[in-house]
Amino acid sequence: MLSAQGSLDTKVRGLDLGADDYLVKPIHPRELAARVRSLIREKQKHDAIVDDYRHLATLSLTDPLTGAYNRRALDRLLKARLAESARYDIPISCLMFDIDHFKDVNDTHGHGIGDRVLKEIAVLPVFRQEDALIRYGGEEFLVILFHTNREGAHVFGERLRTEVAAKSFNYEDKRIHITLSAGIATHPEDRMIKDSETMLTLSDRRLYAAKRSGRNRVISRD
Amino acid sequence: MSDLPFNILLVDDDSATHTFVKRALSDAPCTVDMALNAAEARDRIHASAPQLLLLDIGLPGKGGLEFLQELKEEE
Repeated sequence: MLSAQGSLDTKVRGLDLGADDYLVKPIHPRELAARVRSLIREKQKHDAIVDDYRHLATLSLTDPLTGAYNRRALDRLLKARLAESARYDIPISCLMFDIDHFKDVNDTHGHGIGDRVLKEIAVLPVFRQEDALIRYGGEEFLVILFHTNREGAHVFGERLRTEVAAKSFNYEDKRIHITLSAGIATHPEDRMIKDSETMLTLSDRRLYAAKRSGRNRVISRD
Repeated sequence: MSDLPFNILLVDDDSATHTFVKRALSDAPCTVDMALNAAEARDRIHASAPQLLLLDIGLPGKGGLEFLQELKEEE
């Protein structure tokens, strides 16, 4: 703040409002320049700390291999989305999928190739900007589909399943084909969903139903 | 830390202060933009997002303290 008057009350009020410094006119040009240089240094330090904090916050919520969200992010995202869904009566679906026989990919081609498959899965064009993709476990992912009812989620799940089944993952001379199984839970159509835990439990149960019934399928109801 | 010049906005209705500040900061690693009142300052803030605001208390119309309070509330 700059002022021609140096009353204590005005200074205190300005600083309390968030001013970083208070300069009373007239001020010597060298002092003004020195004060501004000091403020620039402080601002640059502050900005660097904010950048570091944002970077760390992103890292703490991201799976380092795939760039998808991690489970820590899932807790926050799903709780927040479910609360919003309940408040505004917006359908929300949770699709959990797992790559079929992924252990065979790792055993046959090595973990390096397995990791490349996971990375490619995470950037498939089928995932929309508004969907949240979370790496839930080793080869298990979860997609939070906001504004999506059971029917819409099933259509999405089938698109994902067929896209993956038709894709050839090519690394050097290797041609890898995989399939995936998926289970879907939808609020409010699935009445047993009370919170994020019950939603995850239900999508997990349907994922395993898809596995048990032959894999390479999507199950969205019991 | 960025090597780009720092963007400063001076908000003061006294053109002599504008000249004085520009001269005083001519060797500092910064650029200085000017506004004569709070409304003009708001336009400049939206246009160029200055990193530092030099704000005169005795602005005509909306005073500097009132303007600062508004900005902090919007932050």
